[in-house]
Amino acid sequence: MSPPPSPPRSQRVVPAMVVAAVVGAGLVTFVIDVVAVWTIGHSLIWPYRDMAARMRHTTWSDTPIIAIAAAITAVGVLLLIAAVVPGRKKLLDLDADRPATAAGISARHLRRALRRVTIRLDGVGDVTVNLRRHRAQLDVTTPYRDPGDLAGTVQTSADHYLDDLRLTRPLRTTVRTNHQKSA
Amino acid sequence: MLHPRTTRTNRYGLAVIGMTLLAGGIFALGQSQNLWLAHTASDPLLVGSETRYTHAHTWLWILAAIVAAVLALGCIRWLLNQARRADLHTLRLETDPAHGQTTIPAHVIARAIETDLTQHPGINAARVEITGQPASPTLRITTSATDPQMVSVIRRCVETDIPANARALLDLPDDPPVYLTIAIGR
Repeated sequence: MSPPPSPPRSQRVVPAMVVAAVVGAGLVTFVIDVVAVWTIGHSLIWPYRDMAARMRHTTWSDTPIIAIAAAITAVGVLLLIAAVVPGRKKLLDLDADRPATAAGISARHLRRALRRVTIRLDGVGDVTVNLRRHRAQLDVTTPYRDPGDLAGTVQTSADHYLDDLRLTRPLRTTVRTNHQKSA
Repeated sequence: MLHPRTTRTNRYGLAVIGMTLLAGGIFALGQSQNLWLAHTASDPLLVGSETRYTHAHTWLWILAAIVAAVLALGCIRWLLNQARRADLHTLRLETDPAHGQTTIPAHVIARAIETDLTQHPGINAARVEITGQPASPTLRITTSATDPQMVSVIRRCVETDIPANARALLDLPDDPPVYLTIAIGR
């Protein structure tokens, strides 16, 4: 029996595209300038003579140079972290019945599901769902002046839904009710 | 889903460029604090002898341009690879070469499974990607339902019916591994 597929993770597409585009553009402009100096006698993109003249009058201890060096170091550290640290999981894992099956739901879709399950209940005017690491927080707005045990009903419904969904890391639900102000 | 080779390239590419920048930054910071013996912090970034040397040796610029052109092509390829998907193009139906070779475009199977899925009550839309090896494919299924209460029905369908159907369709010895992503439609 094959093992279950691994859940999708962030694959560093954005940092890779930014770095490849910036480094690639820098290298292409350098090649264009070298060819231009060789053929027409002067560079087309970068003012190398001015840059060299400025570099001859700037020392390593000048503040702008230290700031640029610190920025380059910081970018290097950030890129190394992006390369080494495993990509962020995109989905919340769900328990599966078959060993070769794995399942997941995104936080956005779980919020949407809990909202839709809750808004159907009697006495619920509106609901906002916030997901934390171990907790789902439901803020319910009700038109009733005396909501009775609405918080309990909402919590039972949300818990029942989450049990049915079988999250690998179960979420504890908390419910807050607010009275809906009439317009 | 991104091709595994592209995921690896992203990691190595970012690591190499990160280390290069880190080394350059640390060198410059060390230089400004008089940590290295070769230069002092009061030295200019570019000294006359270096400028004269590069002026006198044109081959140095040509070599640098060739290296830069090769690296630039690598960067362009790296950029284009971000569009490469992990989806298989073809699936092999006959594994024994003595009996010939039968292949089928993977997207045909994927569309057939999608049609099968959307016929189940509760599933509004489905997307199937077939990844892995042609002889042992993996199904990555995304189903969208408007009614969140249908999720358990969808899971039962995807976890039991679909792998069995795919196994029969592709003539596999075992049910293929399945990753199901559940989406709740608007």
